[in-house]
Amino acid sequence: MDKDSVMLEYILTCPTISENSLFFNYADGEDNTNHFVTDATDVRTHKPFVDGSVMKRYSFMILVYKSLGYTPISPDEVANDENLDELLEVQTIIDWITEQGELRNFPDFGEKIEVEEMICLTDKPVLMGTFTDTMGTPIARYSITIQIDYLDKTKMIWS
Amino acid sequence: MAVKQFNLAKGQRAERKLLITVAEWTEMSTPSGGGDPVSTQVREILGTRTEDSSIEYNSDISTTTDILGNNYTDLNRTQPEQAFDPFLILGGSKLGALLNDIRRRNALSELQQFTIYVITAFVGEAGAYECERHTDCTITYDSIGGDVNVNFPITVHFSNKITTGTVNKLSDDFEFTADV
Repeated sequence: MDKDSVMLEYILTCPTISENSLFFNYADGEDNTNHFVTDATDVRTHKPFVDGSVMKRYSFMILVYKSLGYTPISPDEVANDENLDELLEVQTIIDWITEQGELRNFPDFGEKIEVEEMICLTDKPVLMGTFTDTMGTPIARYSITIQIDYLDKTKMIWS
Repeated sequence: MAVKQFNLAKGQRAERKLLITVAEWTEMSTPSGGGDPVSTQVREILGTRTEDSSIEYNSDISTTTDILGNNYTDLNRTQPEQAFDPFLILGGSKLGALLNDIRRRNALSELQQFTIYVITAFVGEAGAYECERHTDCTITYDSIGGDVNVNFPITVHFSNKITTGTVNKLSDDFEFTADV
């Protein structure tokens, strides 16, 4: 199976993502939707080893769309701010990925691929801007970039 | 004996993975049901996670020049060595575990027990790749530590007790056949 398919199956085991819709490479940005965006790494960054294995990188981005409130923050209501709540919910995706990485509970890319590390590139979701959807609801677009380093043994001649 | 040509297309460069160094040593174990210890040959390819490693021949050369300006060079000896840096502490590495055990016990004499195979997979064909077997080689550990991961770089010191031959396959269970 290709890595994107494996990763989609894997990321769907994240509770925060599975509770909402997940789209691959296209999403129209409705509230509570997740958007899996593929990425590519420059092949010149691959690191070959003398035994024929090659360290490679797989990365992708999750965009999360959340509706926004427009209520001023008051000192008594900080903890109940809708926008802050939404951000904290998106944060749980980063926490889940980080935890799986620490537990070495990695996606299974096949027998000849050894995943070395899985990390999120930021410790908080990045706010990639806001827009208004077709229903006139203000929406925030948060992004999370996930990077997986793996050892590709498919070109090794030693078995 | 005729020199075998490279099994490469004209102008094709040999990939680094075609030059293979394999360590072999004897492991003693007691059968699960008891009884006399049995010896097993264990092998491991060297170079996992190493980006660059070469056999350095450390040639001892003396050169004299006559009054006409001609140079006469004597190659007295070679002391081949091959360093593997990084040699990371990796789960599943039997050689790493063995060397670390020797390091803990400071049992230096046990570092001299290795047979090293240098397989040149760019010479020969499937079922018979050219190989040199060096017996009584020494592997030394050079340091242990590092930054993020534990690095345990090693150096292979070849004995120059060489038997040339071929190996029948490129995996730990290869059979070495000496040249006649």
